[in-house]
Amino acid sequence: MVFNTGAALLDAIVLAVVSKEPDGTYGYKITQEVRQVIELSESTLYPVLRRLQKDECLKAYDMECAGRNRRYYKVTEKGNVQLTLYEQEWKLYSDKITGMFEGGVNNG
Amino acid sequence: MDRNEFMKRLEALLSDLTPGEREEALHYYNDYLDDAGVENEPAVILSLGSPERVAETIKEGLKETGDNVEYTERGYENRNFTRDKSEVVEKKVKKPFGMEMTPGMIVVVVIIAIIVSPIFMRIVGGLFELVFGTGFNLLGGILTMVFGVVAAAFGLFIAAAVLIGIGIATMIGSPVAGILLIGAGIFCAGLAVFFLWLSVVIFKYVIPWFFRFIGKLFRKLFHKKEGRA
Repeated sequence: MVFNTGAALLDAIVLAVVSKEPDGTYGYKITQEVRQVIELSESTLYPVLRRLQKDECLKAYDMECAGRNRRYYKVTEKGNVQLTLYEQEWKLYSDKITGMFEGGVNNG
Repeated sequence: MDRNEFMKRLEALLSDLTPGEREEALHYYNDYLDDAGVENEPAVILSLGSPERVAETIKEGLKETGDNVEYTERGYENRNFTRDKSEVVEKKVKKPFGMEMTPGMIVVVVIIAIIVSPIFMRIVGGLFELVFGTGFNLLGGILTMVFGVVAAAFGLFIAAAVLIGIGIATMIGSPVAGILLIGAGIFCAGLAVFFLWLSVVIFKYVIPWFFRFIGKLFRKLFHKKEGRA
């Protein structure tokens, strides 16, 4: 992809992916889903998840799965608020860019 | 490199982290390889890159304090500081009235320049007086005045031109602000004309008078051969 994904957008995408699973989801699955929309190296996600945990946007918990403890991630209340904010900001931002591309409308 | 080697090497590389952080990261990558499945293991390990790279990514992530985080979708390959810095700058610039600040700032700078230039000249004049002593008090005073007046006229003319220029440009977007700026520009032009007139008066009357005065003073000094009181 020619466009960079900044930290905020990556946070937003990860929060959106995790929020789709009310019962939580795990690292490998999140990576695969994020990769459907942006290029993401396999090692990029971990620091993002860790930071979102520290910011209390995600919470991690372990769940028994096929004889081992798998780590799951879930969006917190704060994470939902953050995600809503990101979605609004993204709409404003992308609408402006699309408007400029398509109409060249100057409504500054 | 097989999975065991990879995990052992990663564990060793993370030995300087707190036990909690190390455990968290190892748990994550263990899960990751489990979930990828045995058949994908070699491919995943290959695309994770070296354990050194993974460890570096983990540590970099821990260093971040929240706001200006430094990784992108390309991961470690393109993770460099220059690009992320530009991203931070973008965020700062993205203010709603960013565009209108620039002419405003220019106006402020011009006004400050006008105010400061005569003051600066006065300081030079003051230094002049100090250096040449009380006998040349008048010379310093006159020079100060002349420079101050000329500088003020010059500065005001520039300010007028700038204000009127910005005003006309602003008219297109916001007529009220444009008219305000043009008005301020015309006001400055008026002041400039006054100072110009003052300069002319000084050069025509005050300076000739001053030189006559100096001449008289010197004649007095040389004829009577007396020191100054």
